[in-house]
Amino acid sequence: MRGKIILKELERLRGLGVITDEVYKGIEEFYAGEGDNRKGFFNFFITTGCLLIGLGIILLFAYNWSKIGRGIKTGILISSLITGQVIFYFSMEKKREFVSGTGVFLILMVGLSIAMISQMYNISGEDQGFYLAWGALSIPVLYFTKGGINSLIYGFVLYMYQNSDGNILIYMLLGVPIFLFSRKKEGIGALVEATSKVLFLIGLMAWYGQFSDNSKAGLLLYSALFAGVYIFPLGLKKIGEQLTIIMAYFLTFKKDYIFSNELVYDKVFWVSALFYMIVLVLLFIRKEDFKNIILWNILLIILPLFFSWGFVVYNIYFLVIGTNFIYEGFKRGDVRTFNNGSLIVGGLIATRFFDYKISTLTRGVVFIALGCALIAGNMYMSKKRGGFIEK
Amino acid sequence: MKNKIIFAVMVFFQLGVFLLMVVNKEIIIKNGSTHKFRVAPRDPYDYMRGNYLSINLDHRELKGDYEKVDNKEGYLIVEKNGKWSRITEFSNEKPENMEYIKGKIRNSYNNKTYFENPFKRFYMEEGKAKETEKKIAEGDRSYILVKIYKGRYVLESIEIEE
Repeated sequence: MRGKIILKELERLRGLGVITDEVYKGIEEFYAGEGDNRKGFFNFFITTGCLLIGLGIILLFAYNWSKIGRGIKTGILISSLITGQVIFYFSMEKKREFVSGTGVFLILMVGLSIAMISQMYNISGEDQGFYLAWGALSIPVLYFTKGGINSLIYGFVLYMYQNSDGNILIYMLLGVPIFLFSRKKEGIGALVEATSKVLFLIGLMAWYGQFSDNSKAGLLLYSALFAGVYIFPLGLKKIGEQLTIIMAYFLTFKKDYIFSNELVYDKVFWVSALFYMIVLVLLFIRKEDFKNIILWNILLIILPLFFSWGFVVYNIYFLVIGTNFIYEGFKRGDVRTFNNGSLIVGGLIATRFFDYKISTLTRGVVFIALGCALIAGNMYMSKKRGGFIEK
Repeated sequence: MKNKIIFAVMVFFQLGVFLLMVVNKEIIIKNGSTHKFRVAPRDPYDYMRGNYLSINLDHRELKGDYEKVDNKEGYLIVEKNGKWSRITEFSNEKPENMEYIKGKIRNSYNNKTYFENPFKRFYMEEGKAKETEKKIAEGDRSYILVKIYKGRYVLESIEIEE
């Protein structure tokens, strides 16, 4: 709205010959770009909000309220599914910026409805049927949303299908929509390159991992490996950094066990520790930024390995670096930094979904509250700013 | 128009599959015969469906001789002896005038043939599964109530004999 008013005024000034066409075009492009960024932020938060609400509802159902009968549960599930379909349809017709988020919500509601059949009737069969039905019924959502975050969730469902001994041919067939409805047409070469590098890493990990039976030594081992990938000139600096973040998320989970003396006798532990020390020295020699995630990970990883409260430190650690990214992004107007921060904080919240040591009820309520706050906050901010600027 | 048709088909299948599954199970509960199997459960967690009791039947061996096969699908014959029911035999053909469920042979070992446990999970409210597991660990005996109707079944409840 604000941009529209300015552009209208500029048009008048151009007509009067006060500003040139070139200046007008430059200002127009500036506002169009700003509009895009704001739209990107808005979409991101709406989608995250819908994801949180969907996950929250799943957790509330996972609580398995024994006092609520099957009939009422079925009614609530049908309502959730229909609500998902209605808001998805409404966003496709009227509010395109909600399509990605409502698509995520619908996919989650489809999964929930099938999962609840197993819960209500205690179906004991293999999980592959569940994931197959969930995946197949979600394909149209992918078609309408043209991939994006929905592809990622769909990909997760497929991964789970394959993980529960799913048929490889059906798996490949179900994989087709990811490529068919993918929005991004460019950068396939880069994608192939990155995939091959990741495959190489996985091969390396498998080889290296065979020497350890201790899950804690394994954790240190993989983290050390990714730090090495980051520091040594393999051209995989970014991948090393991202895999470090993913590994560090494992350390945010509450664990029942604490350090055992067995680790001291595990040679893989000592080899990893030595490797990590070399990386640490190299980081100092190179005078890397003190905010470097690898650097902090090397220093902090010792806590969850040795102390039961170490996971709390890792949660705070992620919260601090994520919030710092968001703050820096906002301050500098850097969308990339802002999104990185949002992803780190979002990832932290998402991993709590799988943290079964915390009550499902608590997690469910927190998820829904966070999702609603995110959507309400962004809608308020968007209204306050006078909506988006159309190109 | 094309998108509207695709959307309508999607809605039809998403709701249809869900309702079909519900109706299918309700028919079994309404018309099925009741069976009690002795079990020994424990308590794990599923991230979407919550806490459940992982159930082990007190028997897993089949009577009779079978060819040495793993994961063979067919029919498991259920025999009721007084209060309790047991899975006793395996059949490739649908049994006549006998209670049966769809199931499979798991494996054969040392001239013995074992069936795949068809009743593996019983979902419970958070906290209750742990409580039940504890009671059973302390010595209480447990059994499950299963409704069987035309080869299909629903695990209805888990009971504890105190």
